[in-house]
Amino acid sequence: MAGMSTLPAVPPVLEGYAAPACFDEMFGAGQAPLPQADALYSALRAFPADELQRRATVAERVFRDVGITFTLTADEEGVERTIPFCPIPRIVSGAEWDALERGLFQRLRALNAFLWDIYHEQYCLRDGVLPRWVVYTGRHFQRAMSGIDPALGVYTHVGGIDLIRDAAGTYRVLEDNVRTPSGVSYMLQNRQVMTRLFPELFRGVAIRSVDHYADRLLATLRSVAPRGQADPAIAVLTPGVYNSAYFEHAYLAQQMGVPLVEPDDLLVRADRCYMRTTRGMEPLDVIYRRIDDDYIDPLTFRPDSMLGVPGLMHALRAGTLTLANAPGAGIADDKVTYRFVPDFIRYYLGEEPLLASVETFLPAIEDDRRFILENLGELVVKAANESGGYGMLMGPFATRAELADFREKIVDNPRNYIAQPLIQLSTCPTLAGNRLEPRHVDLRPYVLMGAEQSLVPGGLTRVALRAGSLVVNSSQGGGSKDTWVVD
Amino acid sequence: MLSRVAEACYWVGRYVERAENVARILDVNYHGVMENSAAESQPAWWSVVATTGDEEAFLARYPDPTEFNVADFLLLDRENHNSVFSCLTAARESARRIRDRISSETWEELNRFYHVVSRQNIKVVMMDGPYAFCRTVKNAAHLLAGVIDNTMPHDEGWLFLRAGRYLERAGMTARILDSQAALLRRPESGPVYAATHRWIAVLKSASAYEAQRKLSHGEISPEAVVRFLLTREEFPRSCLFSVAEVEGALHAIRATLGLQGPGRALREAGELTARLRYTDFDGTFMHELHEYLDELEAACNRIGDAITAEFFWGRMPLRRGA
Repeated sequence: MAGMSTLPAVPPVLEGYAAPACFDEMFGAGQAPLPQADALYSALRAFPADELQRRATVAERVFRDVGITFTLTADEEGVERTIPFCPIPRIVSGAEWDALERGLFQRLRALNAFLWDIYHEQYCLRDGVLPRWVVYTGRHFQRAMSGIDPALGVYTHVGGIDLIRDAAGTYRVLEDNVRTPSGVSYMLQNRQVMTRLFPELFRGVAIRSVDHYADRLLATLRSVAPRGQADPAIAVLTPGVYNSAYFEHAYLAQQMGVPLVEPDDLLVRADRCYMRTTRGMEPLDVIYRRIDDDYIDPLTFRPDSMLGVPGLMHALRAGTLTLANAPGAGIADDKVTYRFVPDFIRYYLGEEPLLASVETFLPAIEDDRRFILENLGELVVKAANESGGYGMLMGPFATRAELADFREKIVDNPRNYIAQPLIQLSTCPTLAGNRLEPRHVDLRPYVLMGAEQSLVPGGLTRVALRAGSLVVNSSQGGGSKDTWVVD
Repeated sequence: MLSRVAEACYWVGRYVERAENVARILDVNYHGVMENSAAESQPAWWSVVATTGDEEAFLARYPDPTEFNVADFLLLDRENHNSVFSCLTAARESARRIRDRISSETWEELNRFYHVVSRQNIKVVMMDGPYAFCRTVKNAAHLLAGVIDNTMPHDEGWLFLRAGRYLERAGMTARILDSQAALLRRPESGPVYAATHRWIAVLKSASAYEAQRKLSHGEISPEAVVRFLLTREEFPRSCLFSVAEVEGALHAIRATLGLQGPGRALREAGELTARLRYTDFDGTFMHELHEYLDELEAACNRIGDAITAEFFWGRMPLRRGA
């Protein structure tokens, strides 16, 4: 091995690296690497410029061979792609992470308290914590859930909470995903690929492990078995092989050692859910479902749908089955509800929110609407119930026609939109050709809640691969990175 | 085990085996036709298409049965449901649905196999002749079979995969023999040594040449080849061996599930094993070979139908895009 003196002071791949006017995950607001990124910075000094690129190409091949692919929904052909992978990890210090963990636990507790309330007494509406119209016009509010008591009062067992970092380096919640958040398999696979292909980068760094995620998920699901049953039969429910996250569904089922079922595999007899097996019918107690509310039970939600398991909601109501996450949880991640989550934390928990959020304006409220329409060119407008970066307006970058289009949409259907100031997401050094350039990132940790709360130290860091772009979604050309919590 | 999972295992076994055998059919006939005169080559290629039973699909897509067209149709044609490419696509789709139940090694090997074939171009394949490509397919199939048997627990899913693999093999070996049965019907169509060459090629297509030489002494005759590939108990591609494996897998499945009695699929498989084992090769057997093989394939289909009815809740086989 070459002596330290022969290595360049600045890693060749970081020559001329210039972060724009925002927070950088490696350099903060300054020029020198942050303490938690110091070891990585040093390790990179030993990498010739082309070597990272070469190994990144190998990594892409590994992803393809393993079959870690997603399909684009907008793509008629259903072509399988791999999400571009960048080998430079995003680094979070242990202390930062511990603070995030407390904030995330608090947030998920509050969201679950809100869901219990909204499907039972609705005290929050009586006390004016949020306006009634938010709930009653919410696309994901499910009347069929009223009066159903999920085990331990938990509706959202798995929450994917998207965090961003503003120009001052403050973490903020950008949005909550409490229906069927996806992406956790990338967190796990990214780490595996990194240890396989970039072992040098791990030397001299104490990185917290993420390997136990499936184990924690299984423990969470077991703890919410109906009637406190000790050894429940568990399955993962997927819409099927053509779903964009199918790989992840299969992977999680395999890692937990439980069957992966499709709606056709299930049937309900006398308020009990069963699987069709080679031996006959076998009962199920807990289903980790990765299928939308609309397609769970055609008897309850979509009579026109051929998909789903007729009668599943009867089993839920009879208390013989737990669905994780519960149907109707989506009212909590409506982007309009988002504005009220800090109030939920105060109202239900009697605590001050530990995590900052992003200021949010609601066109459905008259004063807000006036403000939004006057400042449309400065704001980001999002559809209340879209995901994947669809249905979005970035005011500062929009054409006059786009602005006019959104103005009309907002006036026509104010309930369906929210507006927020544009946040300069933090950047992270990212492979572009054979050098590293700053690219904007966000972070999605996966928070679990059953009898206990848990969170593996890591998450999915998504990166906007186009220079200057603030949209990190894989459907919009985003990539992913490993996330290191470093002590 | 979920019926859908068992069914997918079964079809992984069948489709991979079918892909391999389609390559074998092309391989054996390619060399057979090469040794005949050019004048006869188109009818000879047509008989290859007839072996697969997909004449209509072929005629809808190609003007005439040239060497190039037939190779394209059998190997890479995306529209032909029984091409090597389509079989591997179907096997991979089935495997994708049960990724949580098969070993990662199995999935990765099958995925690699699929990519090797899907990236091929028929013009490139034909530059070297199809032999090299067919050998690649055979080797990849052998590798995959080894990975399956050595990395998957030998549980119910593996047993269904085996049942599928050997049921397909029994039927395809019968078809390979049938493709040559026509030769017997017109013995005047060429010199005797040419016919002997073709029967040697049949043995080679089933990787059976050396085994046949060692196990059955004496000269190579059509009857010796047919007898070997139908009923040689020790040879893993013979019909008897394959059907006995199906019978064994079904027996083990019933034991695993604690099911009483034989059930229809096992009874059909047992009957066919016995019928093969006690085949009477005397008298007019070789003259009625085609009819015999036809009935053998029909019996294989009955076993397949019975498996579907008994274990898969009677649902239809997986189809691409279904």
